[in-house]
Amino acid sequence: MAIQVRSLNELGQAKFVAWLSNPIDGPPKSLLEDDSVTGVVDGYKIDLDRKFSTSYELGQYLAKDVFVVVPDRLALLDNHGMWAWISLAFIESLVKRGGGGLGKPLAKPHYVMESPRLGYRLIARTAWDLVSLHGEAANVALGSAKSPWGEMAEQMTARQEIYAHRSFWSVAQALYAKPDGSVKKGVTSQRSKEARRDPTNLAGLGGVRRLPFTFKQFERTYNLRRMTASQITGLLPNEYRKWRAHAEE
Amino acid sequence: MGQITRTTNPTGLKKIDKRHFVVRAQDDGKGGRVFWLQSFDFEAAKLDSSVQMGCIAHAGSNEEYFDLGPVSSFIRTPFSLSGLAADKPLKFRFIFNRCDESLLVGYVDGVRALDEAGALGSSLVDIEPASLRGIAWRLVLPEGTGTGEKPNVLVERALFPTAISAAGHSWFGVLVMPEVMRQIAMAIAEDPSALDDSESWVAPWVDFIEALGAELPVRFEEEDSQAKQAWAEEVVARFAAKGVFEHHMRRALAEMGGSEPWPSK
Repeated sequence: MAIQVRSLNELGQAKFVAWLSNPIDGPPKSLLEDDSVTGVVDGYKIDLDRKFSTSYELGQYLAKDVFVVVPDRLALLDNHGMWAWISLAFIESLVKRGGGGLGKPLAKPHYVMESPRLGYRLIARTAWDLVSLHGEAANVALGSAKSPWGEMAEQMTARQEIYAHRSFWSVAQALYAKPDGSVKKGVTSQRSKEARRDPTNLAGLGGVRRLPFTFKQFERTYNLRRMTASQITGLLPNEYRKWRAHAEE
Repeated sequence: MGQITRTTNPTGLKKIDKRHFVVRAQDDGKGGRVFWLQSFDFEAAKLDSSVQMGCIAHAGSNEEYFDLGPVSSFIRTPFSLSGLAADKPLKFRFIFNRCDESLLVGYVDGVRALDEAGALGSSLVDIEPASLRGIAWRLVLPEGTGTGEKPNVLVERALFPTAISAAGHSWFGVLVMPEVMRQIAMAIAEDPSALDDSESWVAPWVDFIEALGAELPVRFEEEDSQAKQAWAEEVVARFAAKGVFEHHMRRALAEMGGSEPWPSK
């Protein structure tokens, strides 16, 4: 049943954080409609019975069914109490997966705004924002069925210069996503110190950790914003060859 | 075999002079900002009339891209910057490419809107009205090292709607600018070698410090914070002794004493 979206006040957020720190009992869902710790956010309705197998699905639901017309994106992103409330509302979809029963929560910044620096880790907030900004391409970062916040999500959202860069997201999707939407193996591998010393060692080359730096380099000489994903992938250096070959299959 | 150095230009990319641009920015009345390119002298910039122009607006670490069309008939209507934070300095990168290719033929970084930079474009410090949520002012030192970067004094828009209104205000001069100078001097003292690096934002400060009559900083021992502070205080003292600050101080004292503040020059 759809109800009005709400926002947790300071006391409500403190109670939610207390549970995240010590999740012995079930999540404090009674807070969701408790007038003493919540306030109504006008204009938006949400179905609390929904479950999501990936954070991309959550982002899609929020972008297409809940926050459909948003006059001020920054104001919505700034409503930290509301994102904490949404995190609590869908907590079953946002905890560790695998095993039986409700998994354990991830670190607190994935559910409540602890500092603006870590704001990108607030899963529900970032999922909505990425789907709104990049549509289907957001799936490459948020489509993990193993975890609500996988390494792809971390790598692709931590750098502000690529967070909102449309060309980057379409290129990342073309290079790293499989046809079924899952991410190819080895994409997030880090290039080790040993590999960096050995020119024949290709480990970590062309992965998502390196793509932002390559983009930054190419932006100095190309207008990447006017180029299609296939034009950009055709431009990328040899280290991306293996991912590019898969993309063109 | 030739080497690529800072001074070679293997891509043939042309750096366009900022003086050819007039960018304007304004509040949109809803807590955000709009901007428009008022003029761009493509002939002075030696660009063909058909070259396409794009613009990337930066505010803090957020950015937004806008296609402006051909340089000879670019779009002059305002663009909304509602996707960018309103409390961060606003800067523009303009890029140029031919109609049928994406390879750039020219660029310029760090262009500021006239209304935000006021008449201070040629100074070493920018002043920019912003929504600071209860804080009167804040200094933002450049994050990068490029020469286009400048320290930026953000001022609460409700107090100072334009850069000129802040720069001409005696209390701003008396209370804020010496502290701005001190923070910049401390940043320079942290890495005096940057004064010799022509590509650093610090380099243009050599002439300024010398004009104040202060010694250029020597390389301080890393832990010697007292020596760094002492040098910074010396710079501030000389800075505050400049005629314009004596003028601000006289006005502030007159105001404190109950006299009508003098009209701004």
